[in-house]
Amino acid sequence: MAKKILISDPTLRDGNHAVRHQLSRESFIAYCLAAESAGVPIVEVGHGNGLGASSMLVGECKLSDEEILSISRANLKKTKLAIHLIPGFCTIKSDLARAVDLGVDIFRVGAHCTEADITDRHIAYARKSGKEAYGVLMMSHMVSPKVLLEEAKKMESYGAEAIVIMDSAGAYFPDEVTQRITTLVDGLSIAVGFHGHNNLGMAVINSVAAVKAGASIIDGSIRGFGAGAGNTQLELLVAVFERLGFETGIDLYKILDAADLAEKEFNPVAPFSSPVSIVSGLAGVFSGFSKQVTRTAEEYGVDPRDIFFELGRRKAVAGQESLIIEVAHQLATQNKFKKV
Amino acid sequence: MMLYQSNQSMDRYLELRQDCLNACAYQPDATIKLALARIAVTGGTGFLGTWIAEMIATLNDEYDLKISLDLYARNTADWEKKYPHLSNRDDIKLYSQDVRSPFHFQSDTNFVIHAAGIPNNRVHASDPLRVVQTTVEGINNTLDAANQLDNLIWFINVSSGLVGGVPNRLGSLSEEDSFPIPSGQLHLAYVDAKRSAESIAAIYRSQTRMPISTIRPFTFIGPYQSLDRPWAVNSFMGDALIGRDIRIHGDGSARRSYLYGSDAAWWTLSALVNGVNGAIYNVGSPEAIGHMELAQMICKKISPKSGIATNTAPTKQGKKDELYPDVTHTQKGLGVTLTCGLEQAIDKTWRWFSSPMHQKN
Amino acid sequence: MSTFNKLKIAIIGSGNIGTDLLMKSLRSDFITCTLFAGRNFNSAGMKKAISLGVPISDRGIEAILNDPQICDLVFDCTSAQAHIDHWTALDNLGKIVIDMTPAKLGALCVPAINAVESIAEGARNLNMITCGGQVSIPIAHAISQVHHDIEYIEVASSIASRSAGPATRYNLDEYVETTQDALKKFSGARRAKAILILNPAVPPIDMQTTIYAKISNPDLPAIVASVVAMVKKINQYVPGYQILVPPTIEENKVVTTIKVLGAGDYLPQYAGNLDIINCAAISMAELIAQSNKS
Repeated sequence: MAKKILISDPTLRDGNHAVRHQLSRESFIAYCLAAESAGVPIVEVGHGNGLGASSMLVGECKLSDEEILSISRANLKKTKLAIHLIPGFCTIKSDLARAVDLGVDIFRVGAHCTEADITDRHIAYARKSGKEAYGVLMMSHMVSPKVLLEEAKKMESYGAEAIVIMDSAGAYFPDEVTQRITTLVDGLSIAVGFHGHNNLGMAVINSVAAVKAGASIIDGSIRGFGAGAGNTQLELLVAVFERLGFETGIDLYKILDAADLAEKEFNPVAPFSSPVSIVSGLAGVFSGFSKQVTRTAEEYGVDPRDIFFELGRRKAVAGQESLIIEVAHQLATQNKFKKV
Repeated sequence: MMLYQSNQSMDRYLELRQDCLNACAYQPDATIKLALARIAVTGGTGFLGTWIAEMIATLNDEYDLKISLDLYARNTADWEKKYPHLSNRDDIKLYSQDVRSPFHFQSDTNFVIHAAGIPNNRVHASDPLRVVQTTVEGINNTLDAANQLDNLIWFINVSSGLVGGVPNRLGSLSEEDSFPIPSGQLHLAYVDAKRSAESIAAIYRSQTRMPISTIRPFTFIGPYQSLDRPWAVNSFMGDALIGRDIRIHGDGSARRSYLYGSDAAWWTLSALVNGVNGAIYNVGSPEAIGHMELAQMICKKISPKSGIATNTAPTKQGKKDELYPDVTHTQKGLGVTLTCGLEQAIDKTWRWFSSPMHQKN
Repeated sequence: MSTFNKLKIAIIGSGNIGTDLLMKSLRSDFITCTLFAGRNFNSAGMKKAISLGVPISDRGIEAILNDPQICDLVFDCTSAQAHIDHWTALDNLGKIVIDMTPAKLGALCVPAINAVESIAEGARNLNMITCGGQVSIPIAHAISQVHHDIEYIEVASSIASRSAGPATRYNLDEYVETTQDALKKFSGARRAKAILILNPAVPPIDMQTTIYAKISNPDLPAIVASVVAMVKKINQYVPGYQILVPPTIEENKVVTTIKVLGAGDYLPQYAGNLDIINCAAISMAELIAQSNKS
């Protein structure tokens, strides 16, 4: 009996980072239809940083959350609709309540890997509303497996039905993934998932290692559409899992068609590991910073790679874009002194 | 209309009174031993405290035992508003007290039931420091206060069925069963604190010669419990009440048992008068039921029926999970018995929470 | 100055906020703490109060109800839920209350903006909004004095993870909503957004807040002048408040970043977020004390 893997597809959410959250209505509609047709079980939509995150801090979204959720829901019949959300960016009253009304099925409540205790009320709200709730631990490479399990257990006690750990910086090597997933699978009684990023070219192999260690949920984005070096490439995952004897329920040819469609509609140039991506992966810094780092580096006349290593040194957390300006400012000032 | 509504409300409480009467009817000797007692309950506004209040009200009204009940709790105002039929009584007094702070009992207190604690595992996750302080400092302060009573007859430490550790086998747990748990684990902080509390109680018993018994509660069920409490039965009922599919963690084979509030209260009071010094008594139902059967039982009560959905982590398939007590020792030692069986308990609880009277409150 | 002339203040709630307020009150020329009340003699705050010889009680609000003469002004550092009950009782006794909780029953108060008006209006319940609010609202207000029609204000605060206890974490939504509402009120902005980020970096980071304002044709020099003037005002009661990144124009927005270093009275220095709300509260109490005399 083939082992089943639940694929969750954040193309229309994490991918939004790649286009500064400017995905159009047409793109949402076209991709939702293609994903459903291919049998993708879960499609995740929204601003790159999740529900309510459209902001000057992390970038304003072309479409409102309401628009995104309405058009996605309308174009997904069997496929489950999921959203990512980070407490502190969105509230239950203004954002989650409306998402429930708009027909979201799965609420993936995320926190930095040491801050799981901010997710209690949001997970509870999703559960009380009769929806599925996952706990998501971001930048999970920044803590030990033991601490990761502690945080995951908190989310489990809040009612999360699955825990997904993210390799937000694309920093993991396969052995590290194996160790963490094993620790989580052993210590939790709920499903465990993995969300890879491809900075160091290892997203697929990391995902395979995760599955072999007991993960049952894997995130993958079409053509790896995502910030910086991109996410784990969805159609590649489907192909690889099929060859390894795992069942994803996704039709290979149709997901390849979806890749072609994505290329035409919103992702003409597939992500790759640029020098900045490699550096951010090595520095262990959130890949989503890339565009802003590049822009700010140019503005202040400093090397973006220096910004990344400095952010890594300061252990910058996802969502701290304002720090980029400060670091650039400082590096520029230091450079001025060096020149004198 | 108003009169009809208030009658309905009184009907609900009448049923609870009948439950209490049934729970103690077979032990008249023990009942009489409580006459004229002054009983103090810390954590008195919790589930056990509230059912004890209901039981004392019943005993005083039906048998004129003239028992005084003092409920000590951190927040008494909400309870007073919620249960005026208990808080307005002369024989029930409320004292606002945080057990983390040293305090005194009323000087003529004869019996102490230390039920203060935080069994809510969401709080174990979000504020384990407060949980441990409440548990450890709480029992220290309570034992200290009890130690100053001239007329103390008995002290009950309300511990937890979790102190035995995580079983690595199936079947019921007796008071002797103990499974190793690694130390220094954040998610086991509550269990470790409860274990410390049992040690501290043993120390007071030995060193200050205080008469103490321990009860280890397993899962309780019934009116007076908040559906927010994260036990499986509450979340199943919660799902069913809003007309959603009941969602089960795991494949539904996990087994638990559920002791109804009136039996929980009576077994505790029985331990006060029949308990042996230093003894530990499991307080819980011996009737285990799997999550799947429980969900099905609840489903049958709704029309139109809710569905049931399981959420199984594939690697956990086949991992057995049972946590329920063997109460042979308790029943023999205290002479208590189950007066409200599982189906009845579920039925009563369901009717309480699904009643329009409840939705209003 | 003798204690006799100082305004008698009581603090209910012996946690970090209450204890820090106690320490600040001891340094004040205008107020004196006559009661430090909580529920737990074993709490760190209570032990601190005992060591300082401040009268204490573990009866919470009852300590004031049983002896109403003991104080004229009360700092309520308990919880929003508790404050609702406390205010009913304290209102009846004619006390002035500075509410440190998110209950928001009373007048929203930012000393640099409306200290004098709040006192003149005779408001007896003053609410200190939120820590992020005390940092950002003055700046938003300063910008609004130059540009009266701000379309959108956004405030993103980063605080050290260590400075956010269980209560803060549980009440993130309330923090966001309260800050947003107050931002709109004090800046006239049509829309407002507040974001709170907990940063777990070690050593803990200092509190930092970035304010973004969407303004068409911003007059940068005027904005800078207004902000600088406002910061001077704030420095009178929050010495550790400083401009980290001066107002600049980025695309269609004005951006400025503020850093707040705490005084380190009882809370650590990196907890500037908690310090500023306490400084604001003390500053209001001192103003009330001074206005009572005149």
